[in-house]
Amino acid sequence: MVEHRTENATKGPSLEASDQQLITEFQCTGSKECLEELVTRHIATVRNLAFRISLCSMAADDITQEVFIRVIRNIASFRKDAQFSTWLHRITVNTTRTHLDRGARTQSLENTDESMFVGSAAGPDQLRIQSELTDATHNALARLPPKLRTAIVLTSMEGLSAQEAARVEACTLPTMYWRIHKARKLLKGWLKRELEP
Amino acid sequence: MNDSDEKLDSLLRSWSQNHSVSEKHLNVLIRQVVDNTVSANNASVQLKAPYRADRRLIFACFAVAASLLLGTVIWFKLGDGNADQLAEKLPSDKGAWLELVGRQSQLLNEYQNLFGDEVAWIAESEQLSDVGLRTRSSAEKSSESRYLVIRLRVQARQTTGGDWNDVQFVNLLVEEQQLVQIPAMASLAGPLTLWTYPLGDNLVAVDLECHFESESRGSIESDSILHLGDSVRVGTFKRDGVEYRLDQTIDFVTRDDVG
Repeated sequence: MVEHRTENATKGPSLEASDQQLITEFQCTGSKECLEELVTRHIATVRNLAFRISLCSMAADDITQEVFIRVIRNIASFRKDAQFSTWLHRITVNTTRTHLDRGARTQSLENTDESMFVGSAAGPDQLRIQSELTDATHNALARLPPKLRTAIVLTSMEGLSAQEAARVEACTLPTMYWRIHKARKLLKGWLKRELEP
Repeated sequence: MNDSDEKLDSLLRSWSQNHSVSEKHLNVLIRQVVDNTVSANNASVQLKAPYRADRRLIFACFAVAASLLLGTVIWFKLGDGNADQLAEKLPSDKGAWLELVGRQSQLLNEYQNLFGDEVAWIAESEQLSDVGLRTRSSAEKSSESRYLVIRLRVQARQTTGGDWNDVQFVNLLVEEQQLVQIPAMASLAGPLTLWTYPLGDNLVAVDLECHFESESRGSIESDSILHLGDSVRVGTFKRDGVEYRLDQTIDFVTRDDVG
């Protein structure tokens, strides 16, 4: 998570303020610092999730922007007894799905700006093998239907339980189990060579 | 979780780590997001549309044309009994099937009297019944939720030929979209996994994994789209000089039947 603080600490928001308090404060006073604190807290989660489902860096940036505007505008629909992270995941997933429905295409790795990613510190040989694995994994994920891709991203990459993923997707738990099972089965088939010992 | 599951997870985690957004890019993005959100909030205007209005119109026209084309293809496919998407249809005894559906709806009534709305599925085979109850976490039953009757029929014959003989019948009552996982089914003696998804137009998608761990030691996996009431062959396999086949029939138990 990137640290980003305002110059005038005395006027800045309390680091212990809840996400909802930051949003309310921003809505009432227009405090840019409150918004900045909220964005800084959650932008990595939103951007990474948007990329993992859309598989497109440019789209992920646009989606991230749209998610925060939706969060500010729709805070009234957030139930206080619910978890903010679940709500944020849901908005991100829905916004990404809408983006995909608009006809956006997933991006091939050749067109990706590598400076956008963390990357790794591996040697040349390792990098070549890693690149082959990355390409194969990326292509396999791109072949998955969006709902199955979302299920595997939420559980295997974001670390959500099947129950939490079902809440994000607003579907029943058995349906989420089935989507995970189906996604894993398809990925194992497509990545057979890469999964061999 | 088995070895291949762990390897797949490791591959996915490695891919996601390599594609986590860099700190440099994130700093730029934070600035943009904050500035644009402040502007959007002040002006109370929508985020600029990603497509111009005329392009939207063109896309809408394409979407309508594609829907009409797709609808026509589906119409012809459904009219064709040998369509690739639909599994092979078989002749079926409609009278016996309707009798079974009626009997299953009575059975569901009896179980619901005992367990209320907690019944997720019931499996009957050779005088034995397995009942799956809804777990606490999935207890959000929709009032629109329906139950389906599914009959699985396993037949066998020598690979040299001869008549097909019934080996096993399994009758299932399943709430739509419920995942059914039965560890071992009577003489099938192997795990059975099944999931249904109603598609509308009297079509239901059914995913099935049926393992036979007794003398037959085989398995059938299928993803099929079934028409209500049609008996469909979903898989075959040969083992030790014997050929096995599995037929599947599906229908709804209506809410009126359940009463």
